[in-house]
Amino acid sequence: MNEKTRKLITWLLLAASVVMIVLGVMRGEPFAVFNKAIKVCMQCIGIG
Amino acid sequence: MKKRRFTEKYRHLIQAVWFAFTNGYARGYVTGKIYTGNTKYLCVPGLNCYSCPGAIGSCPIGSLQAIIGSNTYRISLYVFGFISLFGVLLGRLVCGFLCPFGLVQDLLYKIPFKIKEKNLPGHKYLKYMRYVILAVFVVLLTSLVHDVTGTGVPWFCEWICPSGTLLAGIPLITMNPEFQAALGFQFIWKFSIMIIILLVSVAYYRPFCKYICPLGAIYGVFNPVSTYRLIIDHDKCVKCGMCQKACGMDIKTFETPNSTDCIRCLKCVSACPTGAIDSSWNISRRKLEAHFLPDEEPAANPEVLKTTLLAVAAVIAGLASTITVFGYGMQAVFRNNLLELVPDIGVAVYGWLTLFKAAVSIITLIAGVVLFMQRKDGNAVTLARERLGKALLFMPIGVIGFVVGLPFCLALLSTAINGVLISPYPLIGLPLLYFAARLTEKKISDPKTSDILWWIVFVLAAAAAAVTAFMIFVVYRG
Repeated sequence: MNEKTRKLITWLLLAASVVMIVLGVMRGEPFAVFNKAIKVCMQCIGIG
Repeated sequence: MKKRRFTEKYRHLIQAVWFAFTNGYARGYVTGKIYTGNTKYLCVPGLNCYSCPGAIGSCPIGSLQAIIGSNTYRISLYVFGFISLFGVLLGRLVCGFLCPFGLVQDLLYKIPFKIKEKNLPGHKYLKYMRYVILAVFVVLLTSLVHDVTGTGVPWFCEWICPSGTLLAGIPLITMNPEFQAALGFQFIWKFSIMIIILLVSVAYYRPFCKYICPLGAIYGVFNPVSTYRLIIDHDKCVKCGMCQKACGMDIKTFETPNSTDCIRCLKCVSACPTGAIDSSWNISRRKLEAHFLPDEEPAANPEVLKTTLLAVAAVIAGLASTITVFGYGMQAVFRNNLLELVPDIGVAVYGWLTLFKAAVSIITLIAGVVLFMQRKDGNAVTLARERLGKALLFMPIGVIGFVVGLPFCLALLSTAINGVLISPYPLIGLPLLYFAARLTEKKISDPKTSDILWWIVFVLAAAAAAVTAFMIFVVYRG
């Protein structure tokens, strides 16, 4: 992979990441993450 | 040798500071309750269980499973966006510097023990196990096996994750008698896995990262294309193998500097006798220094210092504005603490803090631009006028756009549901402004640079501003 292609891939992935986050926010995913994160995860601590 | 010790010490310091920062809810360790503030909308880069009493952010792998397993979403764009963003920016630098469980393993490996090996027997095949765990436990089982409510169980968290057992399970169970009463086979299983991994970590370097961690597996894929990469100067490299000898992950750095296994501990950089290994960030930094600090005695030239201040101001502006938006949750943490400490003034203080941050962002950005315009060495202003012509308008347009856009972003945030709505202007506008600045700089240094890229960036920035305006219209009309 030459340097130019690598840079292009990096920027495309960066843009894709930002777009995914924005789309995820629009779908309301942060609420699901938040709701999971503010309760004790029984599976994580080993009694789920 | 002296340099190597310094690097490791520096890395462990960063690991410890990051650990303290992302697990800084001290009250949790006293009360046995977990933090419930708004920062948990955001994912941290490392494997840091959100049920750790001190955790102020969400674990990316736990969050990914929560979304994949939910009967509403099944696919997570938000969490994978976070993981991908960290991956593109840092790659497995996260493993080397920002993972709490990585720090635990690093410290355990420092314990003197008669066996000190890098790899477990069967390393050649075992190292692919992390991809199997990612595919099977994180994705397949979570998305395919559901309980009676149609919700998938987080299999990796439930049956494997030693980070959750160590950082969340042990402290919470110790402090909560009701959890102690519920202990059973699952805890014994997870506890045993944790103990085995911790014991093996004393003799072998980072076995969890090498063979099990699904997050490391994802970040590893980004290593070859992340902004942080290791670069070999083949003119200097003598292929002595010192890099591989120093590497805990046993990588031939001179052959595969951006291997998917590399956790970026940078021991190879320190160990290289010819200085042939460098990072892409270091190389960029040196290029910037050569550009902004061209004199032998830069401090003696006030104009060069002004230019340096431009860079500093721009960085502060970017950080301040980013914190305003992305760090909304962090601000809420501060607000909650203020409300607890001084109940009557909390909301007002919160409002003033927001205004203060907006003012800091705007003033520093304008200061940066003004400093740039006043820069005299290299005839930058004259050259810019000659070569850029109308394109130079990006500066006032950018500043006006920023000044207009930011308050609207803040207005949007204040009207958003629970403050989670993220305005597209800073998300898209700020990186585009940065792009425009870089292109301008390139245009000044090389007049043959095409204008097309600049215009694309300009149109996109305008589009971002238009989308913001539309959202403002929709929000206020609603």
